Amino acid sequence: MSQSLTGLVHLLANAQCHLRTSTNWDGNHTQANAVLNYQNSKDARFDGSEAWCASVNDTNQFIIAGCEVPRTFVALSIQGRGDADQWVTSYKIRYSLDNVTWVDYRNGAAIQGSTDRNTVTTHFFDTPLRARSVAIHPLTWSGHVSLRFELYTQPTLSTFTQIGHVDSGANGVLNSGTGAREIVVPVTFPVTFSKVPEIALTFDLIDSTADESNQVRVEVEARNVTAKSFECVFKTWWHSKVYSLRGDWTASINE
Amino acid sequence: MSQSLNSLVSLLANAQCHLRTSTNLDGNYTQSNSVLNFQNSKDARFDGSEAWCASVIDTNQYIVAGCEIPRTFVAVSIQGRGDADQWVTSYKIRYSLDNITWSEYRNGAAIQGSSDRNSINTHFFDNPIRARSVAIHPVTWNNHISLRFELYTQPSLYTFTQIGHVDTGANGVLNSGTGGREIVVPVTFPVAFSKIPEIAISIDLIDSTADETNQTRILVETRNITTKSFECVFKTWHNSKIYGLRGDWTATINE
Repeated sequence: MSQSLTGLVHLLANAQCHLRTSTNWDGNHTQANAVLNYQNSKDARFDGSEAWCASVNDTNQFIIAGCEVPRTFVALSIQGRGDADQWVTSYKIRYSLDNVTWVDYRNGAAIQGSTDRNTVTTHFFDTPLRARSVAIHPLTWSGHVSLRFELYTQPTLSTFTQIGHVDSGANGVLNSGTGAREIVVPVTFPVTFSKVPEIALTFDLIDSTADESNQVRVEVEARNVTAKSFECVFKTWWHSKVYSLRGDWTASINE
Repeated sequence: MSQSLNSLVSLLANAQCHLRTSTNLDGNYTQSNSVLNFQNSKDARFDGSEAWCASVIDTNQYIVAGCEIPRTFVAVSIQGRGDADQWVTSYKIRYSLDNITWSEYRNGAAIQGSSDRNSINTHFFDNPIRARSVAIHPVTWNNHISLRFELYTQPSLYTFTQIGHVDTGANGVLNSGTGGREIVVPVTFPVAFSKIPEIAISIDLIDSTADETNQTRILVETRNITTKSFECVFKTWHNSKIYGLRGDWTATINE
């Protein structure tokens, strides 16, 4: 089954995660060089490995990618070291959503890794993993525990919500006369949104008089919604009357 | 008073924060090696210090742990350098929630630190500290400013909210007949949630006729909630009638 990386976020390339390693060969072989396809200077001067390289070659080594916001991890790509014949031939994955409990993907079974310096091997998780932190644990290797990698996630949305309160006041224009009547209450958001929000409105007080056919007509709607403000419009119509309405607004964006 | 680290998030171990230092002795003595209990190779080759080691030995040194999401910091553990007789004997803590204003914990008073290479000294904050960034400032030390540490926080929840709108339409089945009547409006979330959300429904338009005993009966409820969709059900019953109802739905998860 062929799956696609289109539309996914490349975490390391976009600096969207923090990386921690079990050990580094030294300060020139760290997680700073671990991103997929990392390359540095091709001249004689050594400016660091084209990979993360562990200091110890055993099965206790790992590299952890941590995000503060939960992500849906779809796939992982792994690659060997670009400037030497070192690569990880198999690895296992562990992950955590709450950063208290860690889980073994596929019960700790080995996943096929690299067989040369530069070929990219991509593994799509059986089911996308919902996690904050994902760890790669090398199990077998050629030459040295060295790798470059990338993690691919669904785009993550961040919600920003504000709540406030509106009141039509008592015994206003809604409480006399007939036909369409409205009271407009302007609202300025405490904090300006970065884009125009969705708004949910609700009544929490209704003091209304049904008309001669027993009909209650009350409405509140948002008009002229911008990133900074909106107008909260209380309405009635026909022969209904409304002594007072009070409500709450919830405004929210996702980006 | 004995306090526990159970169920707290270990920030550094889980790669849940970014680390910045005032100075590093060089690239082999960085914050990459600063997590509590960090150890690397025990063979003769030098692969970096088992600690963060500052370059300058004075009271202007610090290591800052920064999270993008505000956290409730409960405790800090500190430890000496694992591969040499260097440790911080006292330190102070500064922190910031908005990353504009920084506060001094205990007005900058020194907290007791380490007295050997490997013992762990854990300090529970007098009151949990709500912050995005926390800085350790070594005040006194033995031989060199070197430390390993960990910060423990309450789990942080991430909220994702979506808002939408529903409408019964005008003069439907709720506006005639008697007995239990309902209108079902199916809703598909713009973005699928990662788990089943809680939903709040608010009514922002009521056009209803009380019955012969002056009784108004209006109900809106959610049914068949999944991560992708739900049904919004508007109801009336007995002899009441409803010309039209309109509402907003707010669906939220925390994980």
